[in-house]
Amino acid sequence: MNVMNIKRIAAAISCSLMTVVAHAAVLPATQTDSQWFKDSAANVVAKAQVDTKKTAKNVILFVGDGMSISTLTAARILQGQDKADNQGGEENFLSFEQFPHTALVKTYNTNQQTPDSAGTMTAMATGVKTKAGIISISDTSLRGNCLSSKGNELVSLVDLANAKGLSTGIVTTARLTHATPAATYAKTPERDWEGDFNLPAEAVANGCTDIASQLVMRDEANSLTVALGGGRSYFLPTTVKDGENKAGKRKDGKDLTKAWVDNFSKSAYVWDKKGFDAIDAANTDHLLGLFNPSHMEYEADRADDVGGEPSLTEMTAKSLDILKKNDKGYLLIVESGRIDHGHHAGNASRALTDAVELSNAVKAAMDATSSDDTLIMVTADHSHVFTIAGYPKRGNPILGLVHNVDGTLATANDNKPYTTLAYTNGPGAVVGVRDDLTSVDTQDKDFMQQALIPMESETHAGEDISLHARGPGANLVQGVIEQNVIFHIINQAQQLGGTKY
Amino acid sequence: MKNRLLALMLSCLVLPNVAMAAQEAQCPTLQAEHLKAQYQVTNGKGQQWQMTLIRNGQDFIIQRDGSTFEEWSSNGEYVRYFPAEKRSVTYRKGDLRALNIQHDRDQLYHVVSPALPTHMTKTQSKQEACFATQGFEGKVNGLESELVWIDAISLPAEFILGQSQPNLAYKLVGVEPFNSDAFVVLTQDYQDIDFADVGDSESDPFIAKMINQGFIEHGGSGFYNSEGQSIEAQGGHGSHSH
Repeated sequence: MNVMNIKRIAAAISCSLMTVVAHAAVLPATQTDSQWFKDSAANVVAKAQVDTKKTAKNVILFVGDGMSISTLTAARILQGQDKADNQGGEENFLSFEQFPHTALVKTYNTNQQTPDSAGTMTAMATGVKTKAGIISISDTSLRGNCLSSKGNELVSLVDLANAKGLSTGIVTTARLTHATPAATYAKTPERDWEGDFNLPAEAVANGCTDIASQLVMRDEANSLTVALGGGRSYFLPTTVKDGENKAGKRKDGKDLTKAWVDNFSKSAYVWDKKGFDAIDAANTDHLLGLFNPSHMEYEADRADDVGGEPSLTEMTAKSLDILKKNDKGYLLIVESGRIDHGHHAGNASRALTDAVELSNAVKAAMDATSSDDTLIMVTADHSHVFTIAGYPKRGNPILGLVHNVDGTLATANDNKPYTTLAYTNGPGAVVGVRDDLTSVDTQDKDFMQQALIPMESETHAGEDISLHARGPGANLVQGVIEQNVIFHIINQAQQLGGTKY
Repeated sequence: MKNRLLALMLSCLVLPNVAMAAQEAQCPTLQAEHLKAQYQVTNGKGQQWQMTLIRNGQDFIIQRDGSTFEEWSSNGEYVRYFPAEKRSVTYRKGDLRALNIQHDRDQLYHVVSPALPTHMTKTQSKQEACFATQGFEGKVNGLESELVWIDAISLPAEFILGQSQPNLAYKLVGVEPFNSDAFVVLTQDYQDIDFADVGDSESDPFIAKMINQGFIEHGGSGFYNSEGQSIEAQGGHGSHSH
């Protein structure tokens, strides 16, 4: 043992003693008796005891479309402030924010610094980044060019799970044919080819098919067990009016809802809440639910829907009831599709209400599964230019005007008040003089937050989003990762056969 | 084509002020819910433009210029059509709420609020051309105004906002029957997009142009000034104009 080693040992012993001393005396009681101190110490003890299994029988991937980190913060405060015993709301956690494993996710597309949903969900669903607008086709293809997509199709998590004999499900509040859900089951060089009427002559000539038909016209072995969302008009011909008296949009005359029922065993199609509630999970093996001609309603407006719609939580719970019947396991992908739309409209209230509902859906999934055999991951596809600003006092209504710590109304250089939540760009921008919000109810769900740069629609943002995980394989969620790593985490945890384990 | 247009014009009912002496026998049967009415609109600067209202049951279309027209559906949807591009943008109820766009459907359907007569004083009742009309006068938006109302079709023959110094005047210049089939044809074969999808469609040249230039009109009065802005919505909260 040389001198250097002796010095190191002495130093280690010394540090060890210091730690003991620090616990006993260095920290004053005002520190160690603090509830903040106690809670966080207990949190670390719990983390030290986390023992994560490696293999997942089931995987549930939740995607909040456009659910930026600022959206998570604002949604958790909104939910917290709705609780009767809240201490301001900031102390609240969304259901998945206490999952043991978290990572930051880089979202760019191969051709865009700030991405779109087609490219980002393709990354998650196939393990390969691609261009914006392209769905589960590799980057070598040209957007909107069918011929160039041929031979460049990518195998998705759904394809792999089906091949392994698992049950698969897609749930969304957007159209089922919209880019995010579509990337899980369809392959097309153009996200807008949702129905046959969207296909240009080149696509038809070269054998590309629309997204709606790709969802339905599948072999039973590679079929979806559950598909719930909006987009009914993309599945019905122009000659058929739906239950809400809206005509379909398909020009090929095909009624894909009928095809679903005809093609698959123990199948059912529902279009409203009543039909949804009547579904007996025990006797249904293939469920298609299309609850709106286009996107489903925002959660804030759901009660006003003509035909009635189930919530994201209800759709998730029903899906699990059906998927659980497969002893081999299942893969369920759930998208909260309209957080994104609320932000695009510059309307934080609707975006946040949908984010809270996503948290509720995750809670339902947590309650219905075991962390011993089910990996639950929650993420977003991209961010939005949504900010939480000013120095509002603790407990200031998250949708309200900024009030200083002393309770006075904070004002900007133009002597007008401002809201905590705002957007960098979008329809809330004012050219000229900014509105005086002094007498405006900024907490009204229809209030449009102010913005800086005038644009008809607020835009996505390019910063990272988060990934939260619990259950077998969740330990793989760590650090800053490329978005396509999510595919590999699921493939690894569920041993889907996409790569070596 | 010109002949067809001419025939259409001749088939229109005669103008209220020009053809007072028209024979009742020449008046086609009109249903208030299936008609096309054309108005001459004049603003305070003396500028004039045409406005067309087409009703199909409780659905209706309003066209103020050649570049766009708008449709309001009984299910609460609002669609803006761009004939040159054969493109349309649909705003569903939730989109309109999220954008804080409030339309007074009743006022748009009747050109002026159908409640106006109840707030004004009756003046002369007349038989003008094919219609029995009832005159009203009184204050609207704080301005002395005049209204000539046709009860049979629930539309104004004339409305002048601000009698002494007119701010806005609507004058009915033609009305004709318009059936459901013709109404459907007007909106056929448009490539439609949900407004909710606009933010994800920036690579679409049409949408990109619209995102940058703006293509919706916020506000709810149904009265538009020469710049196309709602004259009652100016300064209202959340009705940011751009």
